[in-house]
Amino acid sequence: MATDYLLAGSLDEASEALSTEATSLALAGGQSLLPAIRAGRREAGLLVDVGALQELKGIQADAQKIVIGATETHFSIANSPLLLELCPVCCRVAGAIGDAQVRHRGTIGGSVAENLQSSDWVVLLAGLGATIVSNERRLGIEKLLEPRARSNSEIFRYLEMRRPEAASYRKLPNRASGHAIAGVFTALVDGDLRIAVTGLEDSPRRLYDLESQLELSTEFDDPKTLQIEPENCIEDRYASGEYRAAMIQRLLMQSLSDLRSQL
Amino acid sequence: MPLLELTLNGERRAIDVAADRFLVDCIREDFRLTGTHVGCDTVQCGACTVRMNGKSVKSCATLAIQAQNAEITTIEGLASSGSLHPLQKAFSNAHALQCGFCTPGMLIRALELADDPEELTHASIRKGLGGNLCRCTGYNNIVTAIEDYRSAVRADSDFAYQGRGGERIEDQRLVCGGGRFTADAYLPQQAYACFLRSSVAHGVILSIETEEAQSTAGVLGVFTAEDLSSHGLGQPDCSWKIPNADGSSMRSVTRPLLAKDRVRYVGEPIAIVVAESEVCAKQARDRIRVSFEELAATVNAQEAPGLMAPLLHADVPENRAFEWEMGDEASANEVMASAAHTVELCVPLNRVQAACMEPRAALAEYAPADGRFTLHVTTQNPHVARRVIAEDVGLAPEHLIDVVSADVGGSFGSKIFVYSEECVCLWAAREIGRPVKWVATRTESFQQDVHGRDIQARASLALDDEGHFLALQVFATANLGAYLSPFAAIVPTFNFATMLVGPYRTPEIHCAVTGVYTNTTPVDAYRGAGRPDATYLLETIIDRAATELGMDRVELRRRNLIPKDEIPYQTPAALVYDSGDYQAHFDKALALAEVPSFQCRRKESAERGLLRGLGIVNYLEACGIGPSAIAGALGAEYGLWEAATLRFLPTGVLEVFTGSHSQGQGHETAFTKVVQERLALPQENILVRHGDTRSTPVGMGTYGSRSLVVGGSAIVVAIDKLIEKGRLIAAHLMFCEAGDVVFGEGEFRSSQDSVSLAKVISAAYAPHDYPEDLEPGFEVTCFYDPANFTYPSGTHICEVEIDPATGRSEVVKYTAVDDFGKVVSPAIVDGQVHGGVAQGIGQALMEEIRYEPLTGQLLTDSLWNYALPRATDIPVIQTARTESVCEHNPLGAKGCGEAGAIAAPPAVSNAIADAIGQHIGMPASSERIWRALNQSAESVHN
Repeated sequence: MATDYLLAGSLDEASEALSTEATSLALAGGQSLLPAIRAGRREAGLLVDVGALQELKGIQADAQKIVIGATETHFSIANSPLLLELCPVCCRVAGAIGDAQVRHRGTIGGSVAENLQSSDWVVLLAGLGATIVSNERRLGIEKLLEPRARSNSEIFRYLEMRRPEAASYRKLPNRASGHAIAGVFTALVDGDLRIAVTGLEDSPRRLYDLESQLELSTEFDDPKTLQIEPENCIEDRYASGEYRAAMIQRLLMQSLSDLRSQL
Repeated sequence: MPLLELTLNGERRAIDVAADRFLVDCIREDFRLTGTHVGCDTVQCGACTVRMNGKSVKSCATLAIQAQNAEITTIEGLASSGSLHPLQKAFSNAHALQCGFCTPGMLIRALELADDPEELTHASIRKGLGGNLCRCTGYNNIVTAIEDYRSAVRADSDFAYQGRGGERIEDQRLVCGGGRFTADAYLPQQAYACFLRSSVAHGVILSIETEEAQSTAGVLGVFTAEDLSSHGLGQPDCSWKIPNADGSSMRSVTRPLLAKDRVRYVGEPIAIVVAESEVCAKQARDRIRVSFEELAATVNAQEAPGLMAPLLHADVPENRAFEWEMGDEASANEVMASAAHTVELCVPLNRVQAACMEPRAALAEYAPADGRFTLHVTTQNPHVARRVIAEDVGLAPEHLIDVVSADVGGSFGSKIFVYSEECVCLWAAREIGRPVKWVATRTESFQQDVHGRDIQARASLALDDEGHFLALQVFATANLGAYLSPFAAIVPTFNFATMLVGPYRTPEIHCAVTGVYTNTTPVDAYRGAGRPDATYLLETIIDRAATELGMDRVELRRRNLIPKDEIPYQTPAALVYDSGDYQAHFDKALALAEVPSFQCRRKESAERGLLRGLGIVNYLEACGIGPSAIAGALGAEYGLWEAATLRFLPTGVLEVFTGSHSQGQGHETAFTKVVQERLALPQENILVRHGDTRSTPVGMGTYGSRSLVVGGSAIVVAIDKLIEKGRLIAAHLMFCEAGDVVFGEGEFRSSQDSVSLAKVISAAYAPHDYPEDLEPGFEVTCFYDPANFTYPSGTHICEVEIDPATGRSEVVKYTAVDDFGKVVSPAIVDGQVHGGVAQGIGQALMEEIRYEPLTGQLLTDSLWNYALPRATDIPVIQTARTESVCEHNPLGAKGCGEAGAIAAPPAVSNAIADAIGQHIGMPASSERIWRALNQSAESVHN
């Protein structure tokens, strides 16, 4: 399929182009989408580049809230002085995605839109109960994670989340792709423990049960006390469920220890 | 089409581009800046990295139109006003590049990293290179170059850009993006080919409907096996046949150019589409309809032989291609039965792939006026390719086929072979009357380029009470893939079995190998070709013996090494080691690797919660293949000599034509040095030419670590002949007898007089008063056939650290002490060791070609799921050498290309076994290590 390109000058223009043309796709950094198109794994009749829209850019943070524009790159997030001061976990997550070249172009919004299952960002966003504000609505991250939650014409504008008092993200990357075989995000928000993981079935997701069971002050020497069942973990060519379960336990223990050290 | 305006390497440019054109294609094809390369389909290799508005980006994941008004710098823009950028100099000086294919993208990213004002550690430089893969260098020298550059910039000097011994002749073009790789060639009117490949592992082709594809706009032709066979085209044959143990012939079924009635592995080519553009060719390909009757597939060599397994070839019962044997089974059994100890081992050697950064490519031309074909192709041996295409494929007589292969971006064995694609492109070029170009995607490379290793072996070692080896017996099954590749029969048999001796005094060797067809990509030579497998088996069973006998593994090895005074040594496996001092490199390595203080380091690691292991291996390989008489006796159809032509041009430049062919090994530099040392010519007066059948003498090419020892020796003998001729001319000029003339320091001298080489050259082309028996001109050719193989050997010692919680392992210390005989270029030799070790670490820790067992689908079809080592995976590799001179070639050299890939897998593997207390095979993935640790923990609890 021949692909057309539109550099959107306004959100409305982008939105209209996406809703009128059935095979259109929004393009931000393109680090997932463009290789897929190049290799013939994805098709698009029209690519609507939202990269120039100023309303999709910007990083704001205060004591309560973090707001990141959807087309902020991993690079700019990793190096944002504001975030380094107020929410350094965002910088660490951003800095561990892909490689330098990919971080220079890849965006947080694109990462969430294209890699819902494997994006490190989604673990963090799930953990912080982030809200995604699009051209159409405000959407809780958990709603977004439901099947077919997003329409083709929906354009993420920014991501809004509570600023955690402390937070940590730990992942075990696959040697080839760098994607998380298992990843654990923990945070304290208003004194409450938040835990989100990837590597479990239907993840990334919050582990509400565990959040309510755990006391942050408890030290864990044996990760097996953190109940993660192998049969609930993803089992694929990269890792068994058993291994993932053990790694999630391990990362969880480390992540909680990170949290304690930040207090 | 939209108008793209940008600043490219400092110049304002404007061009119309299609909306869906990628930046990399625009740079390469529209602006013809071909230094920027494509090495993968998944944004991982980094060969396409360019600078865009001050930041490095991957141009394969960026649309051209997204560079609107951007400032783009490609590798071609790094040098300014003819002078290399200091980092380019640093790369060349530190020998931070070999084939040069990844180098442009690497340099662009490295420069961004190197100019980072932040403090960078060794580790952070490695991490910073995470988006760039290099398959040749093992990254060590790249990191060194970046560090050199940073310290020079800080000190405001360029002192550090000298003295590391690199500065190869080929670097001058390769660091500037001036490499001439096959995919970089563009011919007027060229059309683009793509191939329809089998989506099933095993099936009967019921029908192929090509009409819709044929009628697609822009399509110039769609061809299938039927079209080829109607022109009587054959296919590359198996060029090295071996006998079965019972004396009968092996059952050789070779890979057809295009599948006709059956497909036997995923990715097997079925049809070619030739079109005006690559995009158009691919669209048309997707409109071809093939219907298959799918058959049961078998991918595992242990299961493939036998009556129950799906049969691949009607005339190959039980899928057995050969049953080969070396040594005396009864006698070996007898030793085993009566020995004080026997140690058993069962190991699978993981299937891997060379995965060189440059995907295979072909550009085929046909000139109807004279019926001549020209093939630009990624090959290790242009003349062999020419002969195979003429003789086996039968496309045209040999003299009407020219094969040209300028720069080749790595090979490691995988580009020895003539593949379907280049043959079919040649044929199609004649059919459509236009040049036809094809470049493999990374997925196609995984599907179609030969795989390596995949031998499953059961071994027994007999020892006496004092630990002396008495006999080694091995039963092995070699997975050959769906068809027999040209060298596939020799790799797991002669190459494997003869190397089971290693540097040890084992008096009795028995080895039986069954070669089996399976529904997988054909398997053939990959760096080491059979020798890594033998070395892995031998060094693993020795460690096991040490454990079982309660002996120290260093002492056990030492006790069995062949002593220096027993050399030349007739092995029980047919070979005669002509030189070697195994004790010397063993001792040197143990000291250099600080083995005596290992326990302290183990303790330090333990304090950090990590398990540390030590692996010690010796290896010995037969390379410099090889003596034609032996090769012939072993079933080779070809001889394995090499040729060189030396030609003084009238102006004094020496052209050196060699049949060897570089894929990054730096032949231009090494051969120039060989000539310089003997003729005292300035470097700029020597030009090494290779890779082109139109100019080079008929030669056998590069593989089996043969280029310097066979090809270089041919040059040395040719130099002798050249001097001989020069003495005749000089004698004529000095009015004396040739017998009175000696050559040295660039001049010919008699007892009375002297005449410069330049004068002799000049006289050779102005023979105005020549005597009758003196021929004009100054040119000689030499064909050199070695008297024996060469036998490099060495000791490699590795330390790993393992996080027991995750099973993640890291090689933290690596020492290689090698005996390559006399060395011509130490920097190049070190580079070969680094690269080989890096590939060996890859095989030991992360690389594995995997198939879905039931469907035969290839699970590792991209760099997304096949892990290649990155800079962070490779440690600092400490190299040193001992020297025992090869006795039978004029250079005294032994070859170094494969050593690292042979020694590293058992070195790493034994280190892991040492750390976790059990041998778990390869690749030792994190999960496998973790599993082993947890099982043993559980068994301890139980």
